[in-house]
Amino acid sequence: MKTMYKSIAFVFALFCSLLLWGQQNIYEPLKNNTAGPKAIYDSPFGNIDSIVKAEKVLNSENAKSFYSRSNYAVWSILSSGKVYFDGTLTDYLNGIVDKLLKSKPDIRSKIKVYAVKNSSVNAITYPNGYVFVNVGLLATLKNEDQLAYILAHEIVHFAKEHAKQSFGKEIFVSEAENGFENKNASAYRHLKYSRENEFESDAAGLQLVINSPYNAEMAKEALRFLDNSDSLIFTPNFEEIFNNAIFKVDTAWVASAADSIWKNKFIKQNKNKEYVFYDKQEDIYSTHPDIEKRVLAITEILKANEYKSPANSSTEGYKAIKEIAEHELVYNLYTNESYTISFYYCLKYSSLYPNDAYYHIYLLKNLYMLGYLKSVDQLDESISDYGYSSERGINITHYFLASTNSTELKKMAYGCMKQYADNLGKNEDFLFYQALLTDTYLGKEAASAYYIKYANAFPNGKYIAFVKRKQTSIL
Amino acid sequence: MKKGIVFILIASIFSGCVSVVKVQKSEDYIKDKSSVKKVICIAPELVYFKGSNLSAIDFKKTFDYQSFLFKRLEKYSSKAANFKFEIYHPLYSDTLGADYFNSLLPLKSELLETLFERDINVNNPQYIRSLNTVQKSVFAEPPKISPEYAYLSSIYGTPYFSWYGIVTSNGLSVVTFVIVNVETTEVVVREIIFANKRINKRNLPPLIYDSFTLIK
Repeated sequence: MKTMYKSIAFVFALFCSLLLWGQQNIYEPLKNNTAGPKAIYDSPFGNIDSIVKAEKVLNSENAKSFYSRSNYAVWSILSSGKVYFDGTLTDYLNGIVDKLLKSKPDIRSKIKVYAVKNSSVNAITYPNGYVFVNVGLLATLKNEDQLAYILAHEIVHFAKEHAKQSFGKEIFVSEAENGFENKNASAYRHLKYSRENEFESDAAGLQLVINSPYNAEMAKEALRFLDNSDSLIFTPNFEEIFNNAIFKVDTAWVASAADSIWKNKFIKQNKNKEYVFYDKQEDIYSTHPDIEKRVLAITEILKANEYKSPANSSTEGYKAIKEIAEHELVYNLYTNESYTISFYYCLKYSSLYPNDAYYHIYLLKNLYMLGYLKSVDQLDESISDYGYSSERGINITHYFLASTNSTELKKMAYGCMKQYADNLGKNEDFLFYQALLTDTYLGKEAASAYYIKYANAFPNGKYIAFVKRKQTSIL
Repeated sequence: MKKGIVFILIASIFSGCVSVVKVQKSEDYIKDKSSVKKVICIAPELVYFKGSNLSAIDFKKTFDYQSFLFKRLEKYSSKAANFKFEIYHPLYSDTLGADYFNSLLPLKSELLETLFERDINVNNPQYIRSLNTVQKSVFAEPPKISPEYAYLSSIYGTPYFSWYGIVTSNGLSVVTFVIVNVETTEVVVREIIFANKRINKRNLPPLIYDSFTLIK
């Protein structure tokens, strides 16, 4: 009897899960709930005079120039629409900073941390205490310890006033050697100061992490992610995603194209890298020291401190944040008109999370815009230098799209839409793009029934104004 | 003879002072211009550069000129073309909500894309976009944006959204203006003007006035 009940319960659970799968909850991109900090609504130069008065290092003219630039830069970022003023990501970052600066409340009160809608794997600090962490970084790192180290490093840039120190040094030296100036001297000096500051931030940031509950050993991996993230290396499997009854990918063609791009590009690059120790390019032309030097420096400091990692790992807790960041990355690239890269990440995350319908929807959205841009001859056909590590996958995607004509792209989008119809048939975005992609490929008459279907299902939907206009033009 | 030489000398002196205004694009794709009653302008900008290159911003003048620009945009919209130009900018509007950051600014980013890109140029796919090349194109249809912003028309009471931007230095100024209809996803008005002189408070109003007459 018990076995029978168990079987019934199992069948019922299976039925419920299938029902839920049909109406699965699809990720909704984060939205700001507030209209941002007060700093956006005031002129960035309103408080300049009082700041200049209190300045002790720079003279008043230099101080005015320095603070005007940094205030304007922060104001521009805050008012750009690319900042998460509140919500999960920004709250999470502030929680980590709270832990790092538990014993330094004076510094904590001056630091303002925000997540930003930027896809590059990086974070940046401004002299007025604003720290902006890119969503691309959050989507790339593996755990909270790594993120804590990056934040600690950025906090040190602020606490040690690195930007101001470099600016002051630069002015002092350039005035002293006036008349003997090489036109690139200023740039080289700036790069040197910047590299020195990076070493200092690495070391002092590490100390902050050592004194916190986080694992300082993770600093090394965090730095390597900034330079060359292996998590980003992904070669899209176009055949697996697009092959269906309507659309077939030439497997042999993609494979040979992928190999030829990769080999040609990197064989060419490596020709210029014949040094004694096969090291990377000299870092005197960079704002940051070579990563291997930075990792070695951290190893030395940890060894000198006889550091022992804490037992707890923060990987599990970070998983949810990473997943949010991955979804946001695709959305931000799409709303930033970087359709090729957004398309690439859709392919990547679709293969990592095959049941996440969000990536299928954004794949369709990107394909619609890519098909349109192709038809107006505006699709970027160049092989991109977007990030060292992710180049291979993105370059192949670029090449794939460049070699596909406008009609093929529209057919591909239509075929892809047909593939997802069974699972996504009730989703608002899907219903709309079902009509739109049919319209684009087969004409508005063929799409008319789909437009009606959308209008009936979502009479107040977000695309209804567009659909009504379409319906009028069809009639 | 002497008079002729003097005239030529004077003319040649003044010829150096003549400013050149080159209209790179000035297009309107709208059928019923009277339907444009209200236009939402998202974060218009004026960036004032020091000297003649586009590297160092004069912050004080930038903000001073921006407030001048906002006022003139509102004034000339009703004067030149009888429509309401509603400006949404953090330093100008008191009523900005979270939606400005969630929806309007991403839309602005799309508007900027349509200014220089997305032309269906059927007669010359290899055309050069530069200051010295006036584009002669035949358009199959207006440039488009994505349909993601169609819902904004019910929130703001108009399907027309725009951006107006100016970059100015001593040697070069660029004025750009675009309006899209978010319901049809099509560009309604698009204008790009280059000038070899700085935009100031005297020559800015006529430029705005001329741009707005595109919807008259």
